[in-house]
Amino acid sequence: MIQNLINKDLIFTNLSSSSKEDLLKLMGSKLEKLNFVKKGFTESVIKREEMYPTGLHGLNFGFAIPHTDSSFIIKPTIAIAIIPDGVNFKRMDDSDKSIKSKIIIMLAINSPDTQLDALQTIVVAMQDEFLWNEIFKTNNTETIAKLIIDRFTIPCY
Amino acid sequence: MSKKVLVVCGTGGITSAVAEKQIIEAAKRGGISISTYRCTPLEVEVKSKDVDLIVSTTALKNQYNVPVINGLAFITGIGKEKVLREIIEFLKK
Repeated sequence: MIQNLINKDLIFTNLSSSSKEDLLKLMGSKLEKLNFVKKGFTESVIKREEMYPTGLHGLNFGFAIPHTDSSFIIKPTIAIAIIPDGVNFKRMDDSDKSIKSKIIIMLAINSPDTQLDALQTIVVAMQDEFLWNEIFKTNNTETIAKLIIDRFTIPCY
Repeated sequence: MSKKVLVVCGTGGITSAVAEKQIIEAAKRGGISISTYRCTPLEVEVKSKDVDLIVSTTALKNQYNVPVINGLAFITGIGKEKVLREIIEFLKK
């Protein structure tokens, strides 16, 4: 369930001047502080990002999905940073190239088999023009969390 | 005989699992029997020896004796149907 993976405390805005490493540290340390992941997660994500980068070409802009080994995960979640100016990430399909990434989706997922659907839906949804237009308009993390969750909530009549 | 597909990603976990799941579902819909395996780029050299096809979400620097299909579309959703068709056509052969 997507609601269980999206948390307003794990949505980051107003980060325009951040470097890739600072950004990963900021997101990772918050995940560590809130006990979603074990100590060492952040260093591991940074190391993995160097070896196997996660920058991706989206439909409308670049994004990245930094992550690491599932052994670091305590409680599965997804942290999201919104950076309208973009931060350079090396590309997953060609590490010699970089892509300016506007949405960073840090994955703290420990059971790919059950959390995959949610993950793929989020990645695809983040490229939905209507959704990102709305997301880029605000800095309010609660609003952003709600926008993302609502995107997946089919009204029941 | 069922075809064997090796799904590769950088951490051997998340993105390959996303791709693997969609390949399995598409094969099922197409009535094709397949076996899938996941690994990291470091293991491809050895594991590629027993498979018919490699689908990788990450760049593979070496050449292998089996075809390699770029599986990035499974993560971004862009061009996914085209890649799935390509994989299914190959598996039907």
